[in-house]
Amino acid sequence: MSYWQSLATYNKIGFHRFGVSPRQMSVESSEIDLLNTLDPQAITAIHNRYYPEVYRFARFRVSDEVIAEDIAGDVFMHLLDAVHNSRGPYTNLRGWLLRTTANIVNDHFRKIYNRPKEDSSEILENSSDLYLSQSDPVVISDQAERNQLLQLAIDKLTSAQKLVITLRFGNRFSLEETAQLMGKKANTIKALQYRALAALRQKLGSDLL
Amino acid sequence: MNQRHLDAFDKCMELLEAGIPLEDCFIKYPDLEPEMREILKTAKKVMDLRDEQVPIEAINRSRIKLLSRAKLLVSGKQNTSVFGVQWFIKPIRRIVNGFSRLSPLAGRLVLVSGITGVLILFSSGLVITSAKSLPGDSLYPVKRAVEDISVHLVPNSETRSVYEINYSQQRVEEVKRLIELKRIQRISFEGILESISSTSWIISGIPVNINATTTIVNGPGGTQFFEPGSAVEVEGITNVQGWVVANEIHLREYQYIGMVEKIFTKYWQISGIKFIITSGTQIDIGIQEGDDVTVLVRSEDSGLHALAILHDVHPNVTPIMPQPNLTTPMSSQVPESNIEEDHQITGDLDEISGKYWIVSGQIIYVVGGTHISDGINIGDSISVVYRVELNGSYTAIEIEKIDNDEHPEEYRPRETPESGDESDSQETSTVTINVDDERGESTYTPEHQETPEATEEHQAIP
Repeated sequence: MSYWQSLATYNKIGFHRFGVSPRQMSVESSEIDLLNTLDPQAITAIHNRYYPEVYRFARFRVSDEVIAEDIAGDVFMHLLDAVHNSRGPYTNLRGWLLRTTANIVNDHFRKIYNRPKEDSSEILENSSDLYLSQSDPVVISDQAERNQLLQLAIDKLTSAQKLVITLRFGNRFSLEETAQLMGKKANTIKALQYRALAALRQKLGSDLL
Repeated sequence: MNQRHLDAFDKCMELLEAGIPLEDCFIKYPDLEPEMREILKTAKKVMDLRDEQVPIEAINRSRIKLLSRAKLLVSGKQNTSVFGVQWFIKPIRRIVNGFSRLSPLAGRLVLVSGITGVLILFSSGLVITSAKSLPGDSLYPVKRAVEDISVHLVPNSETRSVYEINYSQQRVEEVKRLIELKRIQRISFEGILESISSTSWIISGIPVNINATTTIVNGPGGTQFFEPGSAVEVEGITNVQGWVVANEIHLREYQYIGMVEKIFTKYWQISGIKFIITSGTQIDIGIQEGDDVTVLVRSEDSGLHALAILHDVHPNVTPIMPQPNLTTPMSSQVPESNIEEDHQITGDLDEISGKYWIVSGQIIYVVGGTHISDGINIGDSISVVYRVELNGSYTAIEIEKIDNDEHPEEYRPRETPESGDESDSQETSTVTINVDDERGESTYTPEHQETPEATEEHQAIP
């Protein structure tokens, strides 16, 4: 992907390139300097610091933890390759990592949509007629299916809505942190979050809730 | 949805995050319950989706993969840096990264500007250096390519024509320079045939040796022949004796007189010969099939191009003489109302032919009624009163010899060495060094070229 394409995608999915505080920027700049040397210690430090955020982002969006682990691993591989080819982040390392995660998750869903679809309503109809304990494998499986449907519904939101839901709920970022990453004001994030949840409610319908 | 609504929703979200039941939130904001209940329920579901735990095994696996990948990249980097251009790229990358910290766009702009600057400097230097190159030099193809590009980039056809004439003149200068340097080189140039003898011709001041192997290509059907004033193209080799040994000479521009047989959009057939018509072809109004016309022809690789098709109203038609520095008015510049008016030209007499004289590069036809003062020789400064014919040719009315003292202020005579024997009318001296005062440039032509045909014709003039 070219620089301009990636910049366009960056803006399209809602991350703001300059949405970092000056202090954070200087910390991330020194991290990027170290990363450019491909020093193992620097790489380990960066990996350990950002891996949980990247993993949570991915895990929130995909149903399978193995897939989430693969996605998180791929993000850091992309980072190394980008740094090696001088196309890596310049200022906002965290934003770059989360943006790349969002892109890889989107690719994952694109692959899912290309597969033949299952009829989800049938699964829900069968399970809702029975009373089962929470530890019952059927209930666990049913819960997993519901989560998957919820994740698919989230994926059908707009890019900005998906992002605000993931950052706020998946990564537990505060309004201010989310606003910084997306380059928007906190109040805008509040409104965006409300609209995202309303849209999600509409997509899910009453059966799932 | 107002600000209070949003703040209330945010507050409820915080309560939900803290594990407080939804109903407690609605106690605080009872009026918003109908609208927010379902959305908050959705928010709770989304919160439940969250998985806080990050498997430590996953972190370790990822780190190991990452470090092995880094090791691979580092080893690859070292290999490429030995033979590659890392020593050059690294400082540039540092500069770009420095700017990128301020703004990523600035970094890219710096990189693009830098590369563009280097390219411009490099290409400008190359173009400037190549401008002085001669045929056979390594940069000569660059010079020719730049010329071709500049000709193609000119939008105006008149300007393009000026460019082409200038470049054609440069080819002549290059050949002269090669002769001066006594270099043996295959060359090709266009010029004006100044004199003809059995073994050598003078073309734009360059002596061209004609031998048994030289191919001389006449006009279509062999009907057009070489005569002084013709535009010709020479292909040959320069030698150390100061000549060009011609392999082939062909007429480049000449006149062709014939009858129009067929008129098509792209070409005309005139007495059995096809002439290509372009947007630049000047065609006299009213020419029809069956008319006798004079065609000003330019021979190109693609065929015979008609530069102009004129009514054959004058028995003599001026041969085409592309002279970029002409001081006399061109036929196209003469308004129709002035066609019948007399004009005057002063200059050096370059050539005397049976039908015309060449005065400072301009051909002027001499007819029976032309008054010619006595004692005029080649090289003399003369004044010619002439009229412009309908077909653009010049016909002399009166020719007088003028002394240098009588030259008008704007006239600057050329420095012309005198012939070794002034009384010998059979040997004429062509210009040895022409100094153009305005341009300060000198051109070289060999001395004492015999032009018996010209002299004979001179004597034949009444």
